[in-house]
Amino acid sequence: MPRVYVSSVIDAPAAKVWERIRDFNALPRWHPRIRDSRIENGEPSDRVGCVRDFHLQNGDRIRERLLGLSDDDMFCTYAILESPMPLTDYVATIRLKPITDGDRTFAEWTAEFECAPEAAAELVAGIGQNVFQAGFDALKRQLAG
Amino acid sequence: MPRVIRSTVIDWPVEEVWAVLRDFNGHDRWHPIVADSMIERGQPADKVGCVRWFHLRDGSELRELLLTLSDADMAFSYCLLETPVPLLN
Repeated sequence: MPRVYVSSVIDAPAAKVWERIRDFNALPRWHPRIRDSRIENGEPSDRVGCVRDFHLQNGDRIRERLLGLSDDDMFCTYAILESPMPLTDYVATIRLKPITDGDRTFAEWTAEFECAPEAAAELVAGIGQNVFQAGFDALKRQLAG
Repeated sequence: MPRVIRSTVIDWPVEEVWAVLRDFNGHDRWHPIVADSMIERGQPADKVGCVRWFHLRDGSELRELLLTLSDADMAFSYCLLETPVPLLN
């Protein structure tokens, strides 16, 4: 089962970073690759089980279900329901941990999924760089200092 | 129940940091307040359940039991058995 793991250090307090990313419907506000997003059926974006329906800047449509959310442990876990990528059973978690030394944040973004063996390397690299690392780079630009 | 937590960033590959930390009996080599240490009954330092017996630089004597060791998660946990400072568990 291919696995993506990307981690980063963000020079801002964990509570401040969490406040920025906790809203399951707020990707367009902080992630440069996402153009727009809505929660289906008018549900609150922190209702576990809700579904976000969003588009990338290139027009691709993705739907994802919120599986887990914790303000205490600062993580959000979600699954892809529909996407144009050649994969299935995609589950991802974005998680923050406080770095007490300097009041900074350790951020981890992981995903596991199934796909044809020949597609794995490209998917892992693409998701790791264009979704996860790009997201962390954006947060660093927006919050650091 | 009081809780202490500290976290930091160490500018070194994690596998190499873990290689140093995983030695339950090696803290006298890297921690400034530990003067000496030995594992009781000649047990290996990575045997879960082993006890390290050590002294601080001020002469205090402590014994700690290794509760958990995981190379997969790069983590270990331990508890104090005897200490000059009154603590429970």
